[in-house]
Amino acid sequence: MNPGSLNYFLLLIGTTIVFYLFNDNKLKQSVLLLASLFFLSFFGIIPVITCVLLSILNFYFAKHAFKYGYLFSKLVAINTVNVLVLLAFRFVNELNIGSLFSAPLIGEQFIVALGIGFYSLQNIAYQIDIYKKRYTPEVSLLSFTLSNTFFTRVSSGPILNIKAFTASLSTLPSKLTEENFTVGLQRILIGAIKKLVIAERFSYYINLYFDGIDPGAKTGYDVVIACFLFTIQLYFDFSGYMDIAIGSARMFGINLSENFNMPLRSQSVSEWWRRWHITLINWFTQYIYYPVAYKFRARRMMATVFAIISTFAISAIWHGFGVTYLIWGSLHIMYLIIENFLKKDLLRLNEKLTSFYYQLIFTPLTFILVSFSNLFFRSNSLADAKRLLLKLIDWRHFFPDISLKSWILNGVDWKMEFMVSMRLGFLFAILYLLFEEKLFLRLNKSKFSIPFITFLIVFLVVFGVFNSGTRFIYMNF
Amino acid sequence: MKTSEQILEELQGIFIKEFSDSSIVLTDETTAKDIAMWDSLTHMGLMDTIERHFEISFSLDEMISFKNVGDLRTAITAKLK
Repeated sequence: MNPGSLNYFLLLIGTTIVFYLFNDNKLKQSVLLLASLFFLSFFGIIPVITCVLLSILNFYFAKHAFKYGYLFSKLVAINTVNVLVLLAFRFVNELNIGSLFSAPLIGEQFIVALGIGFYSLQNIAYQIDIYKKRYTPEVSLLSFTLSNTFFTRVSSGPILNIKAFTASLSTLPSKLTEENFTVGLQRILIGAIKKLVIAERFSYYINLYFDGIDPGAKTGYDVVIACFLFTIQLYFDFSGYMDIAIGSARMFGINLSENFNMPLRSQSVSEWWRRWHITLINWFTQYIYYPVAYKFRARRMMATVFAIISTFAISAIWHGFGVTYLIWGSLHIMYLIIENFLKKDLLRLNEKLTSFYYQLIFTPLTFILVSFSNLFFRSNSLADAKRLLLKLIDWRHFFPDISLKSWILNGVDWKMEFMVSMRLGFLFAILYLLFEEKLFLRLNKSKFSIPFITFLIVFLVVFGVFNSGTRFIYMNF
Repeated sequence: MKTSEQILEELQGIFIKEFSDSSIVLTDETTAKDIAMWDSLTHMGLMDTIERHFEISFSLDEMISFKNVGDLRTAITAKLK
């Protein structure tokens, strides 16, 4: 079941109705847990069993260890289990669906297009926090299991802090308030628009250029367009999924953390990572970057460099076992280290140029750097990435044609209907990005506005691409 | 025994030297957002300098829990007692 599919929304509507039939908090949580297990069961019985067993194991282990003395050896033991399960599922996933991006729909049947990784990270963090005595163990197994399985966000996050999430479960609302319904519905609609009106329109070309023979892009210009479009597509696809996850949770009065903060406006790669997939980056920062930087802090700059390398090495492995992910991670390590060394000069430049001109230069530059790294992130193999890279640096054949009209957002062999569709998607993407901040404020308004909601629905129905059958990209991770 | 004001003054000196920025003026409300060079990449180095200067030691949790200079000053004062 794909978040955003008809089945998903039927499940959401049904769960919402049953949820508000009950007044008892435990019963409300039970409804959410049953719906979550039902959601997981669409991917097979193994994800259900794994998720429940891991929840029970982590819940009782933390409780027992806390009571009888949480030794470091116990922490290593339980988190070895968590990491091994995560690695095992990642490995099986890659064996089964091969290329992550070109996987056909059948890929959904395989165990872990699901976010086993996401709740594994939650459990690892939970054990560390209990070991460090940052808080006491959760007392309700029901709430704990729900924090791992909660269906609106189990596939791709946001990553929860288990203790904060279970605390929020203790105050579930008795009525569906106008605020929760309006904000929830608006977020779901904008998420669907991002996915179906914008991201979907880029799929044809991106798949053609990255997955075709040799591997599809004919010239350096095609490669540039493919990388730029992929960065935009990934943002709209992934943040669209997050909007649906956050909006759906809101129907039950649950506030999930925001995972994006307008990353395409970033003026540096470090800023990009503060705005992109925020809950995952916070996890890496808190549980890898800071401990490493703290341990080696006396070595000053070298400690920072080492901490960045450790963080991105693990981040690259998290995304997949391929060499292409390692190159992607290495590029970001390089960007961040260079940025760190040039920080004082960049600040001086910002003062000299004034913020406006600095932004004009460094926002596109950051986008270009991230898009270049995505060439490796999106390529199906190292050989494909190498071929694309060679085309990119072949300046003699960089443009497909000498006439301007044939290469503005246009490849040599694009079909007319797909070209028009993609251009329309591009136009919507730019319009969205220009008004992103204002729109976000509007989406969080709690007054139900019939004209606004009607506009969103009609816009989605008229311009949505509904039948391509692709999954959310980040479900692969 | 150093007073709270002395600690703030010494902290200001450390910040100015650490970030090569003589325009820094610290108050209890100053946060990382107010000082361009102070971010997650430079935070641990800064903490290391502060530890050495005052001959104290912070735990990791303490280092990442300081929300502003006021929190930092309070923690230093407590450790110097």
